[in-house]
Amino acid sequence: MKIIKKIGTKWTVVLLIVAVLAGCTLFDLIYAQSYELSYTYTAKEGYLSADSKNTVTIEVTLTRNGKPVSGHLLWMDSPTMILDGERVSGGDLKVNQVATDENGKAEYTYYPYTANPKFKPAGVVDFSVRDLDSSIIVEIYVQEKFSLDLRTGED
Amino acid sequence: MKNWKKVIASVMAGMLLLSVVAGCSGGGEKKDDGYVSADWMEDLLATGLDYGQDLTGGIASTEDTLVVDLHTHMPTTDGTISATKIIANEFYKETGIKVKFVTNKDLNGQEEEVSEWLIKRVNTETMPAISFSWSRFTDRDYYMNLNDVMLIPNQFVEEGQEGSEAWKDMFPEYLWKQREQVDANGNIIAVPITLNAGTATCWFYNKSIYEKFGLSVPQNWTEFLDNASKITGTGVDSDGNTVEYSAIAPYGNEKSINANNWINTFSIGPSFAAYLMQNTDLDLDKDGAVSEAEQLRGVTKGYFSPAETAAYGAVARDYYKVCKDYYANYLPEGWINTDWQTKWNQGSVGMINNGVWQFKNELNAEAVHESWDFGMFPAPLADSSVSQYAVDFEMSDGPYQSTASLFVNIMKDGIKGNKTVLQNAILFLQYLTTVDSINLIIEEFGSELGAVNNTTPNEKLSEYWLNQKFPIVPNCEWPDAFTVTQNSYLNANFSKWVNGEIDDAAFYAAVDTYQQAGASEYIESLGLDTSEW
Repeated sequence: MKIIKKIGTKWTVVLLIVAVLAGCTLFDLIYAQSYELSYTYTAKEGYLSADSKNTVTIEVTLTRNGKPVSGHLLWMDSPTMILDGERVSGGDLKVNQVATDENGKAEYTYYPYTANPKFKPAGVVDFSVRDLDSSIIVEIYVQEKFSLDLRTGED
Repeated sequence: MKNWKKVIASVMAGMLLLSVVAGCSGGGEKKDDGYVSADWMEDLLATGLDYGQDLTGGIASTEDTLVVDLHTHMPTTDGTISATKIIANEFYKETGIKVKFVTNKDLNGQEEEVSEWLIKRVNTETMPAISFSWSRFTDRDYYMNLNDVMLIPNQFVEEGQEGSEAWKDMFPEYLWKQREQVDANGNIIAVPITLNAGTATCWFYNKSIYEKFGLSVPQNWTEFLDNASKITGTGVDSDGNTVEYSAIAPYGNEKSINANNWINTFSIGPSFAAYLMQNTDLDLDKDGAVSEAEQLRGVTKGYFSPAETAAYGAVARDYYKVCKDYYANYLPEGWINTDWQTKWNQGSVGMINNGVWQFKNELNAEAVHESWDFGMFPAPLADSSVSQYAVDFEMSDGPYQSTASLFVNIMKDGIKGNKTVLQNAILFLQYLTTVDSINLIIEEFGSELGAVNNTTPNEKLSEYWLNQKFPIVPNCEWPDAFTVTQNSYLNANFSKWVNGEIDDAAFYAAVDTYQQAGASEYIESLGLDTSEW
């Protein structure tokens, strides 16, 4: 009560709101940190290439304390790359959101862009996947970012 | 010594003169930076081109910045659509011409919204040089005649390649008969960039519901309606609630009953118009396609009239009855105010109408509604099982002569006689229609084909959509009332008729009134020569 009198009711309310928000954020942060995302990939032709026919299967695994987590909805952003300093499309995914199976795995199909020497040479494509169910209050998700280096043909 | 100086000076002057002469005569040769000098432009202007010289006031573009509207293909801020930005950036590197995309157009807008947007551009003197409006407003004299423009070489195509002699050669010939590119006078008014992937529209269907009712994918309009009539009763949606099934959901943006709706345009109209094409001289030049001029002529001759006294009145009456049947008997009461996409996602809708472009979103949604999968089929056509006046059709393996999806016009109000802006607009469109550019666009956009020869379809589209049978749609359409004003009257009467507010006779009279009025206005605004009709 002394503190309220000292700093006034208005500031007390403001501080309480800030404290609640910080608490929520901290809770979500800790909650999200308990999850872990990892990935592996296999290309149809056995190597990565900037060719949309050479589809790449990306398998994402979600675990919590080392155990697979099933039934969580994962969202992978459409892949992008940097070209002339600007972020542009880096190909296409069959779907962006996939639910994890009983082994905590979600399988994505990635269609690389086809290298176009004039406009878009083979290059590094950036991916980002997050677990939409790993946040409870303020939408802080566990997230994994990775890149695939596309080459022309088997180079 | 003095003589030597004179000799050297003469030789150098001669070399300089030679290089100047060579430079002047080499108008058709490529410069190091990839595009030729502008001699072609002078040749083009000598053809008497109308590029809005009689229009006054401002335009959106400047001599070094071209303002362009590519509708849904313009770059987005999140980078999901970036192909046109990459192309514009490379175009700038090669030519020094900046491309600025418009940002104030409603990209979900239908005909009326785009019409208003264009009127505002005219009034505020901010018309882009290149724009998309379905080539729908030819009566307003917006679009440049591109007949001579399409005959010049594409400046960005290598010698000996398609388009190096005439830009037009890069495109399939059939496109130059379709109304998206050609006006009623037979003039080219639009440059096609992308094509619909077989059909513009399709139906998505719930495979679980199809399985439950023992249905198979319909091959024609009758089978489609049969399927719809079998989807009845209640089931459990993805939230576990007991819900009543809806057999058919219209396209989500369809919020009124219009005579020129997707069903009439893509499923019913072509088959009935094909009957008239086979049994009258509607296709006057016998080229297997009904042009806009031939359609106008057909209306003035009464071929499309539903009147009792009209020679082919029974054809039109059957056509309109089939259209009405869909709205009156197959769409549930209150369909206009229903959130169909939500119901579809919940798994209680049998079939939903949409564009092929929706398939990527449906693939994403599939992860959410785990209990059922979707399938998709092309817009089914009416045939003789619907009416004796609807012709039978054949199927093709893969798309057959797809219509253009993105086709853009050079706007007279966006040029207003400015030669440099016109030249920039032509160069950008030529750059945009090279095989490399279009491959980049269609690979990224995902649901369209390229409008020039030798382009490669998107891999995902090939995998999920293109490898199936498509109906060979007759090259003719059932006409609406041609102008925005007369169409609004026709649509209002069609709506009243469907809702039982006016009887058959009153509706048929209205069709005649507004189609004839629209045709007359259209013919007059285009200055069509009807003396041979």
